Order: sequence, then C-alpha cells, then structure tokens
Amino acid sequence: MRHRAGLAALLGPPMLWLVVVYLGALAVIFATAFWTTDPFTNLVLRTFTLENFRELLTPTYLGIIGRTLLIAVLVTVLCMVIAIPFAFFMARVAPRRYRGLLLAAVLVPLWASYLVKAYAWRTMLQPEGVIDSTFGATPGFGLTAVVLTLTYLWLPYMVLPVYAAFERLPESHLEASADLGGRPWTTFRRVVLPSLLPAVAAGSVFTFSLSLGDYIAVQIIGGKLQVLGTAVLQNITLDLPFAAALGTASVVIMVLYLLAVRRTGALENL
Amino acid sequence: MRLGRGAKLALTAFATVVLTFVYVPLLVVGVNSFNSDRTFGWPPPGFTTKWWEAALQAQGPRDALLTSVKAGLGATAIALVLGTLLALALARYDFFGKHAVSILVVLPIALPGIVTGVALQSVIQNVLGPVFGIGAGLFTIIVGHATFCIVIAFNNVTARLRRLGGSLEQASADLGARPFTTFRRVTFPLLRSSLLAGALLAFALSFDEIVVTTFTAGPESQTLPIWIFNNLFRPNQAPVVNVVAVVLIVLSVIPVWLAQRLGGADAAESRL
Amino acid sequence: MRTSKKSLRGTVGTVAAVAVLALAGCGSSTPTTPGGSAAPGGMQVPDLKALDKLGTPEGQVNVLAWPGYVEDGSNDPKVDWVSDFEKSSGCTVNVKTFGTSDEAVQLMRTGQYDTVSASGDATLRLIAAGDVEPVNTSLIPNYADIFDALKMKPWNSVNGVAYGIPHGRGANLLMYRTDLVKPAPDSWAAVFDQVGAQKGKVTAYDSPIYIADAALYLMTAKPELGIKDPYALDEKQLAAAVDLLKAQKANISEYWSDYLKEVQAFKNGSTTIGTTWQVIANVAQGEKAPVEAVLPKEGATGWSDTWMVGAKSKNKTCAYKFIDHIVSPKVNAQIAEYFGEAPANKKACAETADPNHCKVFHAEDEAYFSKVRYWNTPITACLDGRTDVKCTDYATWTKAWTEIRNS
Repeated sequence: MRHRAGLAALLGPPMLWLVVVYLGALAVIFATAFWTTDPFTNLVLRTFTLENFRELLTPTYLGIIGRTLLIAVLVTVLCMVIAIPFAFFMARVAPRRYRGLLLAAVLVPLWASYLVKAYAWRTMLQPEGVIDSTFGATPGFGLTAVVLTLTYLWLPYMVLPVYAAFERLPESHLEASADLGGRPWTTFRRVVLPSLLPAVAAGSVFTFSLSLGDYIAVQIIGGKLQVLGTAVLQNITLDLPFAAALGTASVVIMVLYLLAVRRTGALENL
Repeated sequence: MRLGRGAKLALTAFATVVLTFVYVPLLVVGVNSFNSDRTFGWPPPGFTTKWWEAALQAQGPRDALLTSVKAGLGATAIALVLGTLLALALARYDFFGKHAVSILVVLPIALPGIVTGVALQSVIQNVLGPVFGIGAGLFTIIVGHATFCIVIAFNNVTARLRRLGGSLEQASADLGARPFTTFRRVTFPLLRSSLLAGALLAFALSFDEIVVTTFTAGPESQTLPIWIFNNLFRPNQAPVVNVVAVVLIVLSVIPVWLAQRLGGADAAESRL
Repeated sequence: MRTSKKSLRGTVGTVAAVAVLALAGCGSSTPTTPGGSAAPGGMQVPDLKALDKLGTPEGQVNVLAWPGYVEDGSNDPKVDWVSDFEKSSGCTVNVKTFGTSDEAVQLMRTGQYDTVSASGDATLRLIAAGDVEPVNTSLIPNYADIFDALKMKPWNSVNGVAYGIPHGRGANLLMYRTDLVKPAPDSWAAVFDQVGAQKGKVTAYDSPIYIADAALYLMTAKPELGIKDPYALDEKQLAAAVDLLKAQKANISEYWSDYLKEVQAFKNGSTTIGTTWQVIANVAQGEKAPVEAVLPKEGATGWSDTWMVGAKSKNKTCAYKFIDHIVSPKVNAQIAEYFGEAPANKKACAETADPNHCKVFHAEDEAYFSKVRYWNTPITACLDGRTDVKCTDYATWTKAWTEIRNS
C-alpha cells in the first residue's frame, strides 16, 4: 500500500504536467491535421479530411522532408566527426589542469545568443566576408551554409556527452587492451567506441532534432533553401491543419529516431 | 591508451582548429559591435563606440534581460522539482509503462520547437485563457520552458541515483527515519551537486530559447532572445544587438565559472 | 516498444481524455457567424458593431505593430512617441512587433491584442474571421486629416463600413546596383525574363504576396492573359505567374524578408537587382552602397497599412485614443521618417524633421501612387468584379509559393 502511495506521490505531479500540459497540447494539434480550413478566413473547420496527408505525399513536400532529413543527418555526422576527437583530446590528451578551461571554452558559446551567432555566419559566408577573404572562396548561402552553421550551433551539445563518456572510461580498460597487444587504433575501435556509442547517440538526439526543426537559421543563411521548419511556419496562419500535418511528419521522424536511439542506451545518457 | 607523439600532436592541432572554428564567429560579433557600418558590412569601413553608448542607454535590453532571468529561474525551479520526482520514481519503483515515461520526458526537447510552440499556444488560447483566465505572458513562458527543461533535471538526478544505489536510504529507513526525513537528510544532500549542474544547464537552455517563446510570450513579456529577434533585422538596432551579444558572452563566464566551482570534480557527470 | 495489456488500456484512456480535450479545446474554429452580412464579392463578414462612444481609459493597450511603427524609447531614448501619450491618456502601451503579415494575423487571432497595424494582405483575413471589428471614425478626430485617397479602400473597408485608420503607405520598388547593372532598368523585366548578366544575383520578397508582383508584370508583358488586378487571379492566370516565378528562381541569389539581410546583400554585391522598399534603399545609400530605387514603367505593388481594433479587445477606449495619437500629424510624421514611408496624415508633411521627407516618399503625389497596386488579400470571389470565374485565394497562393520556393 505504502509502495503504491509513494509511487503515486512521486510520479503524479510530473506525469500530470507532461501528459496534460504537453501530450494534451500535442494531441490537439495532431487532431487538427485531420481538419480543414475555411478558404477565406483560414479558420479551422472541424470537417474530417485526409487531404492534408495526401498533400504531404506530393513530390514538393516529400522533397522538402528529404532535404531536411539530409541536413539533419549531415549536421549530426559532422558534429560526431568533430566532437569525438575533440572530446578525446579534452579528456585524455590535454593536461589535466586545462580540462576545466577547455570545458568552459566549449560552454561559453552556448550563452551567446543563437540568433546573433547565426547572423555572424552571414558575415563569415558573404562575398568578401571572413571566409572569402581568408580562403579566397565562399560556399555562399544555401545548403552548405546551413549545414555548416547548424553544425557550429549544435556542436557543444555533442561535445559535452562525448567528453563525459571519455571521462568515465576507466584508464584500466585502455591499459588492459594495450597490455594485451592492442594498437591504439584497435583499442579505440574495440574498447573506446562501444562505450562511446550511447553518448554519441545521446548527443545526436540534440543535433538531429534541433536541425530537423530549425527554421530561423535557415531563413538567415539558407539563401533560397526551403526546409520542413520554414514550410510549417508558412502554413501556420493560413492552413493550420496542413502545418499540423507537416509537424506530424517531423514528430514521426523524431519518435522513430528516439526509439532507434533508445536501443543504444542513449536516453539514459542524455 | 598510449598515444604516440605524432597522434598527440595531430589531436592538439585538430583541437586548435575546432576552437578557432568556435571562436572566430564570436570574434566577428565582437568586431561588429564596433563596426561603424549600420548593417555591419565586412570588412568594417571604420570603428565607433556609438553602439556601445546606445546600448548603455537603452532600457529595452535590460528589461528583456530581467524577464529572461525571471523566466529562466521559474522554469528551472519547476523543472528541478518535477524532474527530481520523476527520477526518484523511476529509480526506486518498478511499474508498467516505465519505458514509455523515459521517452515521454525526452519528447519536449526532441520535438521541433515550432511543434511544441504551436501546441502550447493552442492550449493557452483555448484552455488557459478562457477557462482559467491566464493569458500569454511570463507565466506561460515559464510553463513552456519548464516542459522542455524537465528532462535535464531528470537526467542529472537519474545518473546520480544510479551511481549511489539505494543503500544509504535503506539504512536511514532502517534507523526509523520517515521517508521525508530520509529525503531531507540523506537523499537531497547527495543529490545537491547534480541538481546544481542540472539547474545551470536548464537555465542556459531557457535563456537562449526563442522558438517556443515566440508562441508562448504575451505582449508585455519580452525575453532577451525575443528582443534580439525583434531588433536584429533593423539596421538602426542591429549593431546594438551585437553589443548585447558581446555582453552576454562576457557575462556567461559567471555561470560557466559557477558550474566549474560547484560541479568541480563532477563536471564530467553533468548531463545535457 | 513492448505493449502489455495494461499499458494498452492506459493508451485508450489517454486517447479518450485527449479527444475530450480536443473537443473542448479548439475554440478558434468557430465558423463564420450565420448572421453575417454578405459583401458584393460574396465576402461574408461577421456581424460586429463599432464602438459608439469612448469610455474611461482602461489603463493599458496591447499593440501589435510592424517594427519601427511604435517606438517607446526602450531602444533609443530619443525615439519615443509613446511615453507622453502614456502620461496624458493614462494608458500604458505594450508593444509587440511582428515580421510578416502572416505572423500578424496569427498573433491577432490570439485575442490578446487591442490594435494592430495591418497591411492589406492581412486586413481582409482579419475582418472576415471576426478578429477585428468596424471602427467608428468619428471617435478619431485626426481621421479628418487623412489623405482621401487612402480612406474607404477595398483593404480597409467592407460594404462602406470602415474597419481601420490608414497609417502610411509605400511602394515596392526596383532597386539595383548602379555600378553593376547597365543600362539602368526601367521595367520589371529586369528581374523576370530579361535578367541578362544579373543571373544568380536577383532578389525577391519572400512571401506569397510576391506572386502579385509577377502578376503585375504579366499585365503588360502578356496582355492576352487578361489580368486586370494582380490580386484577382483565376487558375490560369495564377499558373502563368507561378511559371514566371519558377523560371525566375534560377536567377535568384536569395529571397529576403528582413531588411538588414537585403542591405547587406546589395552592399556586398551578392545581390545586384530586385524588389525593395524606399527605406531599404535609403539605408543602403546611407551606408554608401551604389544603389538606386525606381518605380518601373509597369507600376508596382505597395502597401497601405491600417490600424484596426481587435474584436475581443478589453481596452477599446485606450485603443481608440492610441490610434488617434499615432495618426496625429506630429507623431505620424515622426513614424513616417523613422520607418521610411509616406505618412497618411496630410498635416504630417509640415511636421517632418527633414522638410523633403514627403517629397522623397511621394506622400502628396497621387499621380505616383496611382501606379501603385496596394497589397490586398486574394479571395475566391474575384476582387476585380469578375463573376463568371472563381479566383484563387491566399491559401492557394501560399501553397503555390511553397511550390515555387521548392521547384
């Protein structure tokens, strides 16, 4: 009896919050995806329709979804490729007394406004901007710019969990592998990587989901690029049901991603 | 793992490049705060301190900063309470749907902000407003931020609980302490540093959030990111925004330093 | 995910609870009231009454405005046309700015705002949805001094009932780099089918309403399409405009919606030609960019913004007082100069700090503005009066715009 009461007392408030405030709100939005709008006032009319989802499957929107997925995957992979060696350096190569400083160096950009950082990348990427005058060329505004900027913005979210994983990794495991004759690369592949996987997966939840939903940075440095976020934004006032259907697509992608990632134990590692 | 000199050098060089990649854009922001061009053309045609003077006089960013701090503190407090309760429930009890809960708590931060934002806006408009008479404002911003911050507190506390195990609490209970006494005297002191680490991250997340805030903020409440969003696109104001950003970067040393001091040896344990 | 019987039951429960919530929830979905009156074009308008007299000020007013329309000194203590009003009227002014007309409609729909500065591509939507109510112009003394050419227009009145007070106007001009674009363009063809050397350096406004710019060009470029009003396009005419814009996309460097971005692009030369506002041209010239803005021979689209009163407003007296203040000669002049547009109040021209302001912005030049087609909201009933065919509405334009952007 006591057991149940204790559980209820602990679980009650947070579940009430998450289920009522959050899931309730989400459910309302998804319900509207099956409704339609008044063509003139753009108000939602409660008439059941599957038209919104049918439209989602047209080449225009499949293209947008595909492109957004591509960006999210590229950003996530780039963040991994940068974060793993960098976090390894922080945790294992840099002298111990500098580790705190390095960690701080990674955290500080998180406090500079996201918008200001995105706009700073305009100055970086524009013709005669920082990149152009340093390297003599610039990718300009578009897909490359978006991937680069989003990688920049979300990188700390990948570095932190990976760094934590390296810190937790007992030195003895590495030594054991070396003592057994493992070369550094073999040790890395066979010992380090498996224990890193949950942390990388955890970081990827952030990089992937933040890239999937972004629309502000895309507007600033995306040139004429169109992604899921901008499409949702364009439709919110005019066709909320269709915006909801587009939103549903991103939710489905994200839930599938979370389920896949959970198998690695990442959710305990966030 | 014993690395050769070459590998170490290569890694050091790589880390230098990464840090350059991280700090050059911030440096650009700093330079632009002195750029005499209103639209911060590059390279800067000249330098001026007039944006700094304008920023020092402006009331808007200061009010917005205050709102942001209030919202961040409110959201962090709620997230800490709810996240800790949830973590204790999951660590101490077995029940059906436990796995679903661990996904549910991640959802608010994993789903695109625009979806969460629109969803919360419809609740504010259709339930909170008409039924409870609560309009969009500081309170609704806090509700929105708390929702996606819960997972941060939850993860930090869960990690600590997992490491601690339940033996100390068991001992306390065996000695006759009531559950609340055990929490106050045993569990809470053990959790304190992970709670602080979680609090700082939650606050940081709330502090820079813009998308959900756009949909949950009311007319009187303007957080700093919203102020920046409203002013960044206007040539007369944009350079002032750069000044505000520089000030933020400088001020961020405080929470980061706090994190290091408080988290200390546990820095590696703090979770996003 | 593992599913047990128990959790399945839980799911059903949740779904049921959610359904109840959903039904209780979506109050915003009220269909148009049956008691509404029908406008000539078949436009249904909810039956709302204007305020008949002012009461005691409620203490505050929540304002939704284009950035730069309502400055309260919080950004720059020298730019403040609100504080004095607050003292004299007893109404505290809370300002929220929006970036696009769509955002304005979205925010206005929350019912939290008492007044909004709406452009023509938003006004009819707000009127038809019952988000704003008619305005009693006799309660706004300064209304008498508003240019007659702006009063009772299709975007600020329905069936002879005024829904708002004009605030200011401007044209969407053609801007180009004088050093890079030669000869100087005088036609929109320069951004559509005669781009020439400017390939990849054209910019366009990032909004479905930009379709009207293409339609306006087609009025003279392809008269056989029979476009009379760029905001009244039947399916065939819309398709022609969409094709033109899809072809244009290959020549676009980027689409703009905020003016910092556009000034930067013109300054650094990543963009050399495209649509602009007078104020952007002024800022760019102020920063020494070699640019010029012209009204092409085909004419141009433009905006005439309107202050409207929220139907759900709880602070209507303050809203009226605020609107009267904001269109008063002195304040209207200050705003027009700060934002960069032509004021709506005739007497404002005498109050501007720059005596040439009204001349630069053609405030009193009706011949100039006769070539400007102000933004309006496309609806199924053709705005040009055709009854034999259905026109495409703004939602269709939005879909078309997404398709163009994605082609």
